[in-house]
Amino acid sequence: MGLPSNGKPHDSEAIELTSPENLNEVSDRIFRFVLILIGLVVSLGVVSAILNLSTRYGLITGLAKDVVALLCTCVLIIFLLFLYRRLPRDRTTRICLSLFLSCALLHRILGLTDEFSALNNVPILGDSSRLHSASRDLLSTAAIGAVCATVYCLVLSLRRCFECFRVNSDRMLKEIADRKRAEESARRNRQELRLITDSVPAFIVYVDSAQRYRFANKPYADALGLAPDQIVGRHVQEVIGRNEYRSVSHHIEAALSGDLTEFDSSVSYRKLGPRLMHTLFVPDVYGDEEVRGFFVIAHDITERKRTEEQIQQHRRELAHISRVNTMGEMASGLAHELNQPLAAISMYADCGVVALQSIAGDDAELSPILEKIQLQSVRAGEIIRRLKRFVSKGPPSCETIQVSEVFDDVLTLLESELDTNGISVDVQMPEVPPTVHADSIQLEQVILNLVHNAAEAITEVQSDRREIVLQARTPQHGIVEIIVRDTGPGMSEETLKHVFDAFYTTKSEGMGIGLAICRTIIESHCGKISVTCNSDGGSTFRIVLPQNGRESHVDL
Amino acid sequence: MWTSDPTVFIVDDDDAFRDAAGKLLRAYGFKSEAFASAEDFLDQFDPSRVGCLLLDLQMPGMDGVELQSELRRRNIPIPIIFITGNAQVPTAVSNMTAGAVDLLEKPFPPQELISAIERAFGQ
Repeated sequence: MGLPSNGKPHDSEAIELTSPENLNEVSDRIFRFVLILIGLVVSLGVVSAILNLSTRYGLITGLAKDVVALLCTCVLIIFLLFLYRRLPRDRTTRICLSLFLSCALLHRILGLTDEFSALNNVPILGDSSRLHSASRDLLSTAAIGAVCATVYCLVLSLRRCFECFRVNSDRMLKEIADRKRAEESARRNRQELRLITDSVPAFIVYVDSAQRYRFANKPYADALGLAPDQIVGRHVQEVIGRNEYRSVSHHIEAALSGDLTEFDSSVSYRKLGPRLMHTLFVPDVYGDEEVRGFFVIAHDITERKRTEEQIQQHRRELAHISRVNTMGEMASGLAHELNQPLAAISMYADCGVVALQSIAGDDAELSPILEKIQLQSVRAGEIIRRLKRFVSKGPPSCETIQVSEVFDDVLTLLESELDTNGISVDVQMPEVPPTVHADSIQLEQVILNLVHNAAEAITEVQSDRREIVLQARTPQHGIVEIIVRDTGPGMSEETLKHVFDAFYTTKSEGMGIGLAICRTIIESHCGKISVTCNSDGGSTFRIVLPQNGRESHVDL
Repeated sequence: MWTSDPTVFIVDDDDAFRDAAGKLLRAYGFKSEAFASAEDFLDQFDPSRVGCLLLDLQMPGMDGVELQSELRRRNIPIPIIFITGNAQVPTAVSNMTAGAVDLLEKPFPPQELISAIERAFGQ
């Protein structure tokens, strides 16, 4: 009985006490005990009242009264014996109750014998008065003892019940605190999870089997221009729109039938516009078969795809550059091979002239033809020589060069292209042709590129004005300005901004490196290159170079 | 008699060039002999003969520069006109200092060749 004061786990009783079943049992026992006591008192009271009333109105007197009292007591005993079966299995309580009942029964029997003795004047049990008072004393003492014992049992039971109640209330308080802590921790976990899913640069969504959103992270909601709360609970079609829904509905069906689904698609978001998404539908399978919904994880791969395409494009361009480079290297050998027959042609033609003179005098028609053959073969050799020089590889060697010579070289190389497209070139040179300290091949490359671009631009438009202005001038001492102006379609703002960027091109076949290289070359010569649109269409490229190259300190 | 008559010895691997140069020189009244390689020339050349060498710089086998060195080694002081389909300035300069009379880049105006030969014979 009682609890271990400092919680030592010394007995099973303590454990027994802490269980709720035990608490119920104890309170039930007390309840029954109290019920029996009340029953006893009430029935005794009722019996006494009946007897007193009957005596007062003279209905029964003397012996009859005692007989009725005994009968009532017997009925009471039978009733209590019935209750006895339901009494707690506590020996002390049972003994107390048995004692109490025995006293009551004996009291009634003694009362009856008294009546008999008084009626017949014959003592039934010897000296009835002495026996009577002795037994009465004995019975009273026993009854008092029984009552005390009963009260003691009651107190014990109450105490035990109280202990139980205290332990259980402590436990209950602890449980409540634990539950609160668990709820707080769960809330924090949810908050953390929300924070993580909201920070991830991906769309994370959970859709249930009725195709209603159960979860949507912030990036997803933002893309749709909604708050997560506005999405959760709504049907997918309602949120993403009918058209988008139609394009993903078969994936949703697949996911809800338990298949892991992965696909790339172009999706148009209210806030982000069209994006290329890599989407994963992961079914949420419960048990063996039941699909309760599916998770959606979607990444924006627009940039990645663009980069991949750019890499592909660069790879193709590199391959092209490599081919061009190979051709450049071949040009040297090619020049040698071509120069052999050209030298032979030139000499054969000259032989022809000499032979003609020796045989038939000077033929007015044939001689000039043979001379022209000879001249043209020498010219062909010159073109090859310049081309070879143009593609030759070597360290840049800066020297003082005539800008007009560079112009001549460029126009020689582009002559055929310009003629074919019916483009005329207006070369404007000051009276004293300017010189510049530069690498002639690199400068030639820049101007060739600009004139070539200008010619391409002009061929894009159907116009009567098909002219390129190639101008050199010295706007101030120490500075040479070279201008290439065309009558092409001009450039957009965007193109003007990026035209010198590497791999920026508006041509379908273009590599987008020509002008970037031009800028690099001009900047390596401490110069500047710029482009503007003409007021009457077309564009103008302007190169400004210090006449004395790097050594000069001219403010451009 | 033929020793006093100067000859132009053409050494070039290109058949058309040899043929055309031979015809051209004959048209201008020069005597010429053609060789398809430097080795052929060395085999057949008689050092006592007078003339000049019209020598291609780039040839399979022994090239023009090597032939020039070989002739110098054998102490044959014949003037050389180099011709090339692929002129490299540094090579040209070194050849000039080593006793070459001229360097012509193919294709050249025939007159330039004639003047170069006349210069060589003048030496």
